[in-house]
Amino acid sequence: MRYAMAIDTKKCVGCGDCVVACQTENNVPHGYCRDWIVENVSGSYPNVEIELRSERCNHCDNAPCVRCCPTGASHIVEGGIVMVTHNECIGCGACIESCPYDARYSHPEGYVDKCTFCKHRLDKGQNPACVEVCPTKCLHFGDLDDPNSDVSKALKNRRWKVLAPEAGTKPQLYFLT
Amino acid sequence: MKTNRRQFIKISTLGTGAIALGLSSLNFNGINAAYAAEKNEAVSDEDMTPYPTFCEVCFWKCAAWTYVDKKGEIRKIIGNKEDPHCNGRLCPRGTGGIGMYHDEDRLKTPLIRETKENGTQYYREASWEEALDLIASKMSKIKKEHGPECVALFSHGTGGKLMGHLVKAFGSPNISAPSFAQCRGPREVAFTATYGEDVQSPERTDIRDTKCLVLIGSHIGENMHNGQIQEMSDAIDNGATIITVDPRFSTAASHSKYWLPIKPATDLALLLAWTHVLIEEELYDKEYIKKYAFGFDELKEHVKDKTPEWAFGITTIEPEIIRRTAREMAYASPAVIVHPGRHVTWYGDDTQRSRAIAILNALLGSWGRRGGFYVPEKVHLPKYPSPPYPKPSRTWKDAYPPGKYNLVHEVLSTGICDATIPNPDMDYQLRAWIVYGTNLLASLPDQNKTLEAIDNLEFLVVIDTMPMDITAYADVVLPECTYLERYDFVRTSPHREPFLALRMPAAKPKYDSKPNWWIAKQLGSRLGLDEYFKCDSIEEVLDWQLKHVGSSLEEMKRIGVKKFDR
Amino acid sequence: MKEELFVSGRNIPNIDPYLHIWHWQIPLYLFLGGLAAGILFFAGYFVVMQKEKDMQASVKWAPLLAPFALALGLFALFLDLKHQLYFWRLYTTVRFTSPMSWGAWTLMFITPLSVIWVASYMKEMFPRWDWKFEILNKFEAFAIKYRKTMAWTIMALAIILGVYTGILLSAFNARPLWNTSILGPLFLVSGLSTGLAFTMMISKSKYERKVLGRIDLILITVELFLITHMFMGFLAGSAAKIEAAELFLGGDFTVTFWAFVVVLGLIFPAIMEILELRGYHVPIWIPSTFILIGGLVFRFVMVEAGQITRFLY
Repeated sequence: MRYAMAIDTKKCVGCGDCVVACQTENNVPHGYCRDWIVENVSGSYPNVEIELRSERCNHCDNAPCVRCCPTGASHIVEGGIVMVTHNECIGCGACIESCPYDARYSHPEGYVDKCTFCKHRLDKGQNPACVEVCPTKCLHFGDLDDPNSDVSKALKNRRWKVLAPEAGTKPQLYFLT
Repeated sequence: MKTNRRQFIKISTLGTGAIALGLSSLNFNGINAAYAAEKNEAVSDEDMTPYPTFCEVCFWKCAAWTYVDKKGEIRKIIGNKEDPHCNGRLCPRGTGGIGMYHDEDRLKTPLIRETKENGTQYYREASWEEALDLIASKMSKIKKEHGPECVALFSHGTGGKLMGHLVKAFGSPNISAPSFAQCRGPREVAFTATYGEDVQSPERTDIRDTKCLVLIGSHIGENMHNGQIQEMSDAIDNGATIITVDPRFSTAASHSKYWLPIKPATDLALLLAWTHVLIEEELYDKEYIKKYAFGFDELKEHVKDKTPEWAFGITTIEPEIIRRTAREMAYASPAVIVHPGRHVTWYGDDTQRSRAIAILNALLGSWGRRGGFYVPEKVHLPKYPSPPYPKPSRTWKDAYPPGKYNLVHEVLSTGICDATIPNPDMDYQLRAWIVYGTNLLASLPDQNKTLEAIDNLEFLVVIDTMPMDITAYADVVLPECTYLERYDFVRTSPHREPFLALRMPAAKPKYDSKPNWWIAKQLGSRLGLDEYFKCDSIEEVLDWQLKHVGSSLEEMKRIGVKKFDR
Repeated sequence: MKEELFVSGRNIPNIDPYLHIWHWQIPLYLFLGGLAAGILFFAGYFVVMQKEKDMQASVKWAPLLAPFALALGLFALFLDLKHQLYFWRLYTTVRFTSPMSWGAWTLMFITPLSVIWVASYMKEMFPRWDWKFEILNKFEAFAIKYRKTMAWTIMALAIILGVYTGILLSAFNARPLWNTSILGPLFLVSGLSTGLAFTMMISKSKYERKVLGRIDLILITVELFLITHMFMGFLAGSAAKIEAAELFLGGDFTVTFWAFVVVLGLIFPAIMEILELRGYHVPIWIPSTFILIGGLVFRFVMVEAGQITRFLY
């Protein structure tokens, strides 16, 4: 099993609903977020283009945060989800420095926090909160090993890219272009 | 004539916030870890109780579930899957609606304006009894001296209907929503002039099935008009052509096939040129026009010289692009929408511009057709029996010379505002305002004029959940509880199929805030209007209404949203 | 609401405009670690080479500082932690892929070893010293007996510690400025050099100063060579690496780095040391102090600048 997410940059309107839904679902403290929107404007008038991306932890196959964690608090669970065990985390910041996507933040309580693909929801057979709420349905989630999953179908039918492949992390967020 | 200059009083909530901050900073990192872990962990839906509601953050009014955890804390709001307004997906504002409930800056108790000996004014925290008595005595006084028509209500949102009931029972017809003149007024007037029916809210656009969507001065995606965004996304999936007219490269423009960066304020020229192309190239829906329209020849004559070349000089859009986009619309006809927009008050030519949009849609035959504009349906709930409202002896229009504001079919907020400032040409002046759920200083044009009107008021009551500009000028501020803590009238807004949606409280009102029903009833009894508020609670009214259409409050509490037959 | 509205664009006030999770604690810790590694390495080295008599300062006096430097460094590291009560979690597991884990365990061994080292010389340094307890005297005898083994161990651990201070940073491929394998040797050499500088400063023997000065010159040359190579590597690398190098080649850190680290921290003291070896009289505290300050600034600059460099956004 390999969970992954595909984000349709042609449909995303950058409303930030995924961000707010995540904050309320996971009780993320004020001023922090586990996912975010990037708006890339390129070109010159009148030939301009906006790429809107809803980003979060890439749950990398080759996760540098897990590699550099001195206590094993950052670890990978079934489905390839990178998780942080809060009471094993010492808050050294090594994983935050090691992430090319800046996906982690230091929770005011001291431990490091990040996207969990809403594991508590996956365990109950539900989709992550961001996927469930997205008004444009531009987030596709599922198991890459299952050819009928939403994400597998999206990746089969569309061109896609990943972010910072040169960082060698084998990220599992795919951006449909 | 006495002017009652009100000083701006900022409502501050520093006290409690600072204390909480001080205590939390004493916590050593990790000491509270066990408690914090429990507090911070996500809670599964199964461990929470959902209460039905519909969103009050914007006019779209998506039905939703408010999730409350075992400690009674509101955790999140999730869209109701049965509701066609949101299809289970709220927009970021709706999802973030819990912020209204949790906000530490909320209005907490009734406030009464007082003046110190040195002349500075301040707010004194007061009991509800005292505040309501004061309002009732002031209103009664104005009624006796000037007549009940001298009281006006500005309102916005679902709760406004209850206040409207109170003011109508009191005897005033001057109930106004600033959103009419500021937002959809010109559009509704123009569409009514063209089709005899307005666009309504939510808009009756069938974006889901459209083949061509023209956005002119509309930026779906940046405005979060939920259903329209969802349907635009579906339209993109279905390969619909999107044409966006906007001087700015908007999000919608970035998802469009055509982006027409128009020179601001020249939209009417583009619309006329499109009309010209459709008629000149005989691309319009001839059968439809023949069957439903009159005045076509005059239109043809009017746009004869409105060529794309003519429009190019005004709009800076290439004539070739104007022609090509007009043809795209015609190919998609009748599954095409030239979007009527919302918040259409821009340059002063607004009603005529909206008429041009309406006429363009008529030429494309999209009104009442699949992929164009659907015919909305709604459930009609009977009104709970109460005595007829007293007949007002005059309305706000009587302050103006006959013929002014002829086309306006709602009460104009600016009209009320202007009639509050004494003017030798008017023999009718408004004396007191009740402001419910709208920040007038930001929702009326010409702020200085609004302030002048406020200075001339004898009495200003503001009912809201949060402090804002207008609360700083009130004589009495009443803290209403948020939409998550109260019942409201059942949502009956129109859609493809008729639906009802219920709002019920998910938690007790925080602080000393009260629901609007309670406020209206209490004021009513102090004004001697008890017969208009016969029920003890709003639940009785809702249950009575719902039973008349074959449902009940008990059923609606369980399902939140109910679909009816067309 | 108190927080800023999230409209569009990446705008996370607590992370952006750039990540700044490590403040003064980490560079100080790296500096103290390197300093202790330098001191202990040469203490061990001269014992192994049987130069104890001639190199009194290196073997006996300078190591007095090491336990304090290590303790202070560890304390700085502790201050940097955000979840401090869980500090002990570092020692419930060994994670070979994590430099931080390597460092924690190395410190776990080298810190007590440095204390034992100093203890074994206490009576030589302070003739009137008395351990008071018989068991401590026995332990001292034991330590003195196995001093050579201890010297070998401490040299090995010092090298691991010295390299670790660099690897801690270079293991992060997300920060292009740090992600160069040359950082390990570079920080090791720089650490050894600062250790020598301290020893030179407190040495009273002219002969010892001369020997140390010569070694230090070699180290400085190697360090300059490694710095040059580091930049060559960056400029021949990917866009992210070039951008990282540009912080030092015209960017915000140019003056701090070239003036304070390279010129005042390396070249100037090297010239001073050459002059002294040529027979001119130079007060030894001048080059030493400059090397120590240069080493400290170097670590601050690397940690600060490294956090700015990134692949995205």
